[in-house]
Amino acid sequence: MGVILEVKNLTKKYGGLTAVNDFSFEIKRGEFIGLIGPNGAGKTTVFNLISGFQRPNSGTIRFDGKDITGMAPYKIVNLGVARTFQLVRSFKLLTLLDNISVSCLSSRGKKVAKGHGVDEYASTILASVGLVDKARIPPIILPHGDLRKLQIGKALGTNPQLLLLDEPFSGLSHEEQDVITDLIIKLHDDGVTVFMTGHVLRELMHLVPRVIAMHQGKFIMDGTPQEVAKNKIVLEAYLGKGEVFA
Amino acid sequence: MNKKLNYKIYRSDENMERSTKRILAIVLVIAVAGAGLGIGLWFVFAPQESIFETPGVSGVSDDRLIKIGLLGGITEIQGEGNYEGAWLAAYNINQAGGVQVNGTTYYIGLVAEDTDESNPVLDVTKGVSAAEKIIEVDGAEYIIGGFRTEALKAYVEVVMDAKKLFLGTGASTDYFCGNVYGEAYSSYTRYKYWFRTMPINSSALGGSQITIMAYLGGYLSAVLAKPVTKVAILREALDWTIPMANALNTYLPYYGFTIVADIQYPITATATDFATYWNQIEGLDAQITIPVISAQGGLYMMSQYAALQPQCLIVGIDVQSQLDTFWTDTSGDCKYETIMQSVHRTNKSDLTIAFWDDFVATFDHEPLYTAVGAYDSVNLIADGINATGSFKAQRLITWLESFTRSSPMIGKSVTASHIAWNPSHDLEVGWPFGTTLYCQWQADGSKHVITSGNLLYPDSIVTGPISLPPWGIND
Amino acid sequence: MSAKSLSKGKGRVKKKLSGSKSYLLNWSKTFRGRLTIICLIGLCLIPLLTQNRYYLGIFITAMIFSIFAASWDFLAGFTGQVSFGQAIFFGISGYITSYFIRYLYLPWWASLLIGSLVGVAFGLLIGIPALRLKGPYLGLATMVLGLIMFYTFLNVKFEPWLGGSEGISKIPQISRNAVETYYIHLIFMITSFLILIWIGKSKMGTVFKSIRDDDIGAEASGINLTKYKLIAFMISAFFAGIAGGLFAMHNRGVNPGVFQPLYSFYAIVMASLGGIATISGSALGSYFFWFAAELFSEWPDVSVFIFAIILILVIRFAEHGILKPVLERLKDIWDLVLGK
Repeated sequence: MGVILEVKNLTKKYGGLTAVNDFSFEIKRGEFIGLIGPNGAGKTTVFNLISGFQRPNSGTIRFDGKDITGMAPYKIVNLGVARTFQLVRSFKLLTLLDNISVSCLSSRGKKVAKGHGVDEYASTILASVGLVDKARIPPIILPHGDLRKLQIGKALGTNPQLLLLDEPFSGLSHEEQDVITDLIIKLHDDGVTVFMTGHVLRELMHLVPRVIAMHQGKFIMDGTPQEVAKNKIVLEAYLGKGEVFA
Repeated sequence: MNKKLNYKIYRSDENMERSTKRILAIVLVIAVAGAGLGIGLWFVFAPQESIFETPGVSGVSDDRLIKIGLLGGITEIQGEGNYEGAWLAAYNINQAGGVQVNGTTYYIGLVAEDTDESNPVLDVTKGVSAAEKIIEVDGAEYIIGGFRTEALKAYVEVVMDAKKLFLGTGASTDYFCGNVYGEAYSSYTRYKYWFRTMPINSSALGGSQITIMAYLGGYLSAVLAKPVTKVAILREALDWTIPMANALNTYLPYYGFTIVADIQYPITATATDFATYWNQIEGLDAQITIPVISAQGGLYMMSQYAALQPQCLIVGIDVQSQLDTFWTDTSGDCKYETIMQSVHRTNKSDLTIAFWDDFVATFDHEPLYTAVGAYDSVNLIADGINATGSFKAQRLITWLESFTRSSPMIGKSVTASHIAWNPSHDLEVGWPFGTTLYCQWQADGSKHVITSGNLLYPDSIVTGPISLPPWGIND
Repeated sequence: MSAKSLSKGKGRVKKKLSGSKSYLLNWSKTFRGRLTIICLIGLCLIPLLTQNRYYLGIFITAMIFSIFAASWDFLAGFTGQVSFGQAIFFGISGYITSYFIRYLYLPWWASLLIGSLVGVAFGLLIGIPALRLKGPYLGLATMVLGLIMFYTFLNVKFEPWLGGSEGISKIPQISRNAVETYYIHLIFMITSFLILIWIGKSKMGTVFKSIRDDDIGAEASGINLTKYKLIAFMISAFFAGIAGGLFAMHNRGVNPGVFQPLYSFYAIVMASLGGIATISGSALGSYFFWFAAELFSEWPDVSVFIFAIILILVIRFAEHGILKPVLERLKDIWDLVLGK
């Protein structure tokens, strides 16, 4: 299994504040991996840097051996790195089918959709995230759980190799979390490398075999959830929140 | 049981309500369709009441009318003047018994449409639409008017398409007469319907300005006992001022003048801007300033002139200043300004003073140049129809063309004793043909025709001496 | 290519065609479709009612501005790029069309095409700042660019090249026959609307709308914003250019006034009145505007005032324009008549 994502010495500063500080890690193809840290640790910034929505001050990001540091977001997507957002984003006035179609119309999505036709391909994806019966309605009237599914569907439309999921469980009930969890596991089984964040450890504990922990923009450790949970710095970082194993 | 009954009653109520609504809706649809059809049919078939105004007479049937259409920005001074001049001429002709053609009496009928051309935010569709309406709907046979070149350029084509006689009373550019003859892309067959009756063309205005400068230079040098040679030009940044500025810049040096400044200002300039221009002009010791202004700048120019008192005399073009209300508009700040004006209350022709007094008595203000032009134009059309015994544009064109410099029309116009047209259908210029007067605002709150040293017009029609600002003239 | 794959390809084309046919058939059976068809037939029959140049002229002006307003609606309603400088494309095409007719003696349709294509080039040019600017900033920037065009063409110094304050004149009409001119404009309007609506419904239209709804989301879906925004600007500029060229011919020439913010505002007002992101609403807005303008033509200042009040009322009570509510009311009444 080769390395799919290699992040080296990544640093991002906002004025005097260092959001991400000399951060390095590797992800292997087919891995299922989490990025944890308390609120404000810099997880979203890391995702923004990888997906190209922000440029790092220094450091390199290599995807599949190719340097993608500072590349335009849509180019990175078309190389095979798709992402979702912590706050759900959708095309409010388009139908769910069209929401997915947009991704299928990206240059990477098109290659897959070619044989089937965009609508058909988009329906398949919509079915896989469990929204096919709502294909003709716009997202403004969807419940939050469905919006999270739509997010993943939109990412899938671009046929990603690496999927970055930013807080995919945020704001969901336990039942909804379970549905999304099943969906993510299925995606991973299908061969997508999944990299997800979460600020509540419990969500990730039973899901991912490997976790990267960060705090105040810095890399703390890399290991199994059990190892991470025992780590002193991680515990300190979460201390007082009472959320570690809650 | 009871419940069921209630329910039934309720149901039938609802049904009734529905059917009532349905009937109402059907009635509504039929009513709207009927009204639409009715309006449409009325529009097409209704006998149209005459929309022509017949000043001085009433109850004239449409087929006894000489239908004259007036085009201009009705709500602005040029268009208003055009209408007033035409109205007065029509009134006089109709009162005097109309126009006799082959034993039948015809009267002048007027209709006006608004081209909205004086609007600073110009929409040429308004002019084109007005021209189409006046010809195609109102049924005007002869057109009088036009002022702003950009707008007129569009709708003159509509009038030429319709082959109607168009007497221009407002635009001084050479362009329209150039269409008739003598310039690139001119086409006599297409544009022969255009004649200018007012004002004299912009190159002639340039010639007049150079002549008056030559005279004033000598006069002021003698009176002030010092050389008066420094001239500033202050003009609005519009195309029509370019030939004028070129002429001044080229020819004034031959008469010993130096152009110390040639300022172009945007037509949106404000009072503050004019203070700057005057300071600039004063800094260069200009002795005479030539304004070339058709739009709203004149007022600011004069208020700042009175406030800053630059030591120079103003002699040039300022259309706003042609209005008699300019004195009150500027609270007398326009004193000492000398401007070109086509007509004033003086014996330019034998008819001028009578016309002037008649006009002032009717409208309670002095006529603008478009009013004078429209007055002449209506008379020309009436005279032409009378003389040729025909209403055809082509006959009138031939008749108008018969007046040349060597065989002019004499004693018919209020603007000049002699009227004639050159091959491009432009007014012949130079006393006793079309000339411009130089009028100065003086202490009594009115304008006086000043001397041109017999160069532009004879001193016999001068109505007052030149008056110099008490704050002096630069060395 | 094998015979099999060829026939397969043919089959797909056939399927697509029949698909669109049944779509049209279904559409023509809807209330909206029927009303549209009735309106179109009505427009076709107008010249039977009157051949008067003036009345047809109002329709022609309204049709020209329908295209212009629709071009703005396409950009703002579909792609979310609110331009206050739509007159740039309108004006430049007016100038180029006039120039080619007047000085190079090209036929009007060729000149119009060239004019519109130059409009497209300007669309590309103006689209570039749009890549970085959003919302009111884009509006402001495009308005300033429009003013720059206005003052550049007005500038006396450029008079020998750009025609100065009086522009280019003596452009012949498309046809001396008013009825013929009317039908040519009608064809232009219908064709433009069909193309714009078709693009709106196409996959590319979906991408445009996604940019309108959420540009970051669109980029995260792998959409090249630069490319699509520029394409949208170019398409919009093309149709604004068609309108500008027709406008120049209808008014026998152009002057720098065509670049005035006035015309950009006309487009915005008409499209907003009819309903943004509807395309056909632009026609409703434009007809309404020009009929009102002619009705009040004797009081041009008042007409602007009245129109402003109407617009304020529309924005207050029907912020998505009058097209949709009017259609709904009409449908309600019609359903009642049919007893549904």
